[in-house]
Amino acid sequence: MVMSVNLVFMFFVFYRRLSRARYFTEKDAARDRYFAPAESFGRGDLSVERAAEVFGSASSHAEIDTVEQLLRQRITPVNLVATTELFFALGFVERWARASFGRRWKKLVERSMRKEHASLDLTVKHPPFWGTLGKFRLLAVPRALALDNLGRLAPAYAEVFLAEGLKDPSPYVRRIAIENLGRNRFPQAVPLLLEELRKAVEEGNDVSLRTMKAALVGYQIEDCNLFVPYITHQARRVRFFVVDTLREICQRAAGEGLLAKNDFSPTFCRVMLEHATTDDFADVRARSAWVIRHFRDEQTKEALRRLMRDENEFVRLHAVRAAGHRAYLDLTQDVVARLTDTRWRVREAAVGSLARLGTVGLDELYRYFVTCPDAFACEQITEEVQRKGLVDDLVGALMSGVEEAALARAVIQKMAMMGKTSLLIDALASTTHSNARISLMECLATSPNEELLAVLEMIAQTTSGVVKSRASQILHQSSSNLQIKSATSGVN
Amino acid sequence: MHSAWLHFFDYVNTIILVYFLVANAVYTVLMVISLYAVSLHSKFAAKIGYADLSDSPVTPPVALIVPAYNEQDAIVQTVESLLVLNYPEKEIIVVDDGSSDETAMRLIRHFQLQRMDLVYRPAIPAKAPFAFYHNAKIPELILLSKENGGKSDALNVGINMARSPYFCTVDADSIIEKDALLRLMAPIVHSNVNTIVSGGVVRIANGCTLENGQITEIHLPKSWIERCQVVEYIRTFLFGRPGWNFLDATFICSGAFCLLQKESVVLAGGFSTDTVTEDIDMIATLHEYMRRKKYKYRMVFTTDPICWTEAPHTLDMLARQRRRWQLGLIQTVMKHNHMIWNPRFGLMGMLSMPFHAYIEAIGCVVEAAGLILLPFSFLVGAMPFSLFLMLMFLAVGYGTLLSIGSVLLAEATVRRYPSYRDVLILLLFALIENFGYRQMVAFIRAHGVFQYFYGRRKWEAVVHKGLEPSLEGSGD
Repeated sequence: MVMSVNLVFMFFVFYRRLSRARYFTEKDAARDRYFAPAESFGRGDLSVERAAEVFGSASSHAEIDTVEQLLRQRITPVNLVATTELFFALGFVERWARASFGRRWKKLVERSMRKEHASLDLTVKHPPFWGTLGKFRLLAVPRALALDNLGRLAPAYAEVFLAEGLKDPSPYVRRIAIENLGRNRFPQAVPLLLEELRKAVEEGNDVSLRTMKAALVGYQIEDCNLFVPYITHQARRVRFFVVDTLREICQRAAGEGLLAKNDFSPTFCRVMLEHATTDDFADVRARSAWVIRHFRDEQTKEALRRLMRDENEFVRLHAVRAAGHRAYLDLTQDVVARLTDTRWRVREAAVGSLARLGTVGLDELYRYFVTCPDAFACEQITEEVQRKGLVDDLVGALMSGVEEAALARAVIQKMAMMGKTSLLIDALASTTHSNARISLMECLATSPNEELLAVLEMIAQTTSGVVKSRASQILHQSSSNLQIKSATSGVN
Repeated sequence: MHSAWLHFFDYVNTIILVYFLVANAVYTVLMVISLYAVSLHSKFAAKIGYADLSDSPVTPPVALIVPAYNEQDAIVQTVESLLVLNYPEKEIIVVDDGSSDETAMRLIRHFQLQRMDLVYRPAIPAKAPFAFYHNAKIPELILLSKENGGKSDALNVGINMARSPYFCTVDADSIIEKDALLRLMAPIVHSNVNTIVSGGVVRIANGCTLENGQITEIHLPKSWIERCQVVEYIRTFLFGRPGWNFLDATFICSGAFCLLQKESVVLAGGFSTDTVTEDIDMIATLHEYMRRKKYKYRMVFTTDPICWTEAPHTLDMLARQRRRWQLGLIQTVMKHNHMIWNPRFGLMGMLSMPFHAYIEAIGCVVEAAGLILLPFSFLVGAMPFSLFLMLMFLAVGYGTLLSIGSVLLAEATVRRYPSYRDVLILLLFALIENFGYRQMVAFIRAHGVFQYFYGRRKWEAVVHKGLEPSLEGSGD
C-alpha cells in the first residue's frame, strides 16, 4: 500500500517535471512568435483591432500566458488604455472577472466597459455560508490573483472591479483590492480607504493597517487636499495614520524635487499648522512636524520651535529632525538647545540635524561640544562625529584658517580627554600631511594612552625631519606623563 | 518464556505501538495541511511578488544580527550576502563573540572597518562589547567585539545595539537569498495582528555554487550523509513547520534565519543562556510572555524566504549537532513544561507543546528502544510475526511515504533542484534514508536526551569546513 502510494508520488514528481518542461517549451515558441507584434503594439505601431487578430491565435494555456506576459511587460502610461482595450478584445478581462466574481462577472464587465464610477457602499453582509466558504484560501487565492490582473487595467476600467473586490469575504482578495486602489490613485477611493483604515483602528479589520497605509501612501502631493477632512477626524489614531501618510507622501515628493508652500492648498496648510501641530495626541503632533517643514515660512518656524519644546519626547525628536534643513538655519540655536535633552534619541537627532545644516550647523555643534559640561550630550556628539565620518574633516580643518583650526584643535583635545581616540589615532597613523600630523600629535598628547604611544613610536621610527623629531619629543613627554598618571592612580 | 517477561514485552510493545501510531498520525495530518497551505502560498507569492514591498515606505527597517564565534572562513561571504540583500532599510550588526581565530580581522580588512568609540546602551543584560568597528562608507555595517559569552549573549548585545524595530538572527555560516528578507517581512506587513516572529526555510548549501555572496547554481552534495540531511531538511521545513504555522502553534523557528520584533523580545528578557538552543527557547518564552500579558500576537512561518547553510560533513559533526539540538529541545520543553496541556495557551499548549515534548523530545528514546526491542521480542517469541511486521512498517516503511511526499511538495512548490538527476537522487535518498540513517539519528537524539538527564549543559561545537573549497566551478 505504502509502496504504491510512494510510486504514485514519484510518478507525479516526474509527470510534473515533464509537463512543466513541455509548458516552457511551448512558452518559448510562443514568445518567439509574439515578441515582435507585442513590441510594435507597445510602441503604438499596431492598432488594438489588428493586435487582437494577431494575438487571438493564441489558444493553449502556455500561449495565452505568454501573450499576457509580453503585453504586461510593455505597459506604459501612454499605452495603458490601448492595452486594456486589447485585454477586453482578447477575452482576458472576461476570464479574470469570471474567476473573481463568479456569476456577477457579466454585469461588472459591462459597467467597466462603460467606465462607470464605483459605489462607496461598504456595508455588505455576506450570507453566513458564503462568508465562511469564501474565506477558504483554496477558493480565495484564484479570486485574488484574477482581481490583481483586473486592478492593473487602466484606472477608469479597473475601478468597478476593485470596489466590488473590497466587498469580498476573503482578506486576500480585499488586500489586493486595497493595494490596487492605492496604486491607481482614484480620488473617490480616498474615503473608501480611510473608512477601511478607521475600521482597522477602531473595530479591527481583516486587512492590515500597513497594507492600508501603503495604499494611501501611493497618492501624490497634489492629492493631499483629499485628506484634509480626516486630519481633524474624531478618532485620534485615524488622525495619526492620516498625518503619517501625508508625511510619507511629502517625503517621497521632496525626494524628487524641493517642495514649497505653493505646492499645497492654503486650506491644507492652515489645517496642518492650526490643528495637527496642536493636536492633543502626541503622535499626530510629532508627525505633523515632517509635513509642515515643507512650508518654509515664519509660521512654520514658530510651530517647529514650539514642537521642539514639547513635553513629549517623540514630538521633540521628530521636530528636531524636521528642523535639520538649511531653510531653518534660524532655528539652529533651538536645535543646539536640544543637545542637552534628557532623552538620548533627541540628543542624537539634534546632532544629526546640526550636521545636516552644513558648516554653520557643524560649527555650532563643535562650539557647543567644546564648552559642554554634559557628559551624555558630549558622548552623543562624539558618536555621531565618528559614524558620519566627520573625523577626516576635523583633521583637514587643522590645516585651515586660524579660527577653524583652533576649533578643530579644541574638539580633538576634548575627544582625547573623553578617551574617544580610536579614529583619531587611526587618522594620525595614516595621514601624510606633516602639519596636520604634528597638530594631531600635539592635541592627542594632552591625554595620552598606550595606543597613542605605539603610533608615536611608529612615526618616530618611520619618518624623518620635523615630524620625526616632534614625534620623539611628544613620545618622551607622553610616556612620562602616562607613567606619572598610572603611578598616581595606583596611590589613590 | 517467563510470564513476567512476556508482560513486560507486552507493555513495552504497546508503548512503542502507540508512539508510532500517534507520531505517524500527526505527521500525516501535518503533511496534508502543508500540501494545502504551501502550494497556495507559493501560487499567491509567485504571482503577486514583493516589488511593492521593496519600494514601500511602510516596510519597517530591520537589523540583521550575526553572532560569530571562530567563523573566519565563512564570515566575509555571509556579510557580503547580507549587504546585497534587496531590502529598503537595514543595518548589519556582526557580533564577534570572543573568537580565537581571525573572524574580526578578516572583516576589518575586507570591509576596511575602523575602530570607533561608540555608545552602548544595554536594554538586556549581556557582556558589553569592548570594541566597535565601522566604515562611514558602509554605514549599515557595524562589527562589535566582545568577550566570549555564548550565542545568546552575542545576540543580546546585537539587540542592544540595534536601532530598528525588527531584527533578524543570521548564522555566521549562512547565505541569505537576495529577496529572502523582504519575503520574511511580507507576512508581518500584511498581517492584521501584531506579528512578532517570522521564520523562513533553511536549506543545505553543500554542493551548491557560490558567487559574490549568492548561491548561483543549486546541486545536491556528493556524500550520502549530506544528501540524507537534504531530504531531512525538506521534510522538516516544508512539512512540519508550515503545518504548525497553519494551526497557529509554531514552536520552532530556526535561529539561522528568523525575524523577530525587538520590543517584544526585550520585554520578554532577551535570549536566555540557560538552554543550548536559544531560538526554540525564545519562541516558547515569547508565547508565554504574550499569552500571560493577554496581548494579541502571531508567529508565522513561510516557505519562500530561503537561507542556505552548511550542513555537517562527517558523522561525528552530525552527531554533535543533533545531540545539541535534542538537548536544547528537551531543556526548552522542561523549562516551559507548565505550558503542556494548558488550555490557556490554546493549540500551542494543547497540541504543539505536548507533541514536541512527548514525540519530538522524548519520543526518540522510545524510537531507539523500539528499534532494539522489536526484533528482540520477535526473536524470543514475545511478539507475533504480524505485529512485528506492522510495527516495523510503522517505524520504517511509513517514513518513506513522508519523505517522498516532502520531495513531491518541494517539487510542486519551490523546485530548487533544476536537474533531473538531482531529483532522481533526492527521491532515491528519500527512500533509503529510512533504512539506516533515520535510525542512526534516533540513537544520536536519544543520546542527547540522556545527556540532559546526566546534567550536561555544554554546547558541542560543530566545525564546518567552509563552503568555498567544496564548490564546483568556484575557480579553485
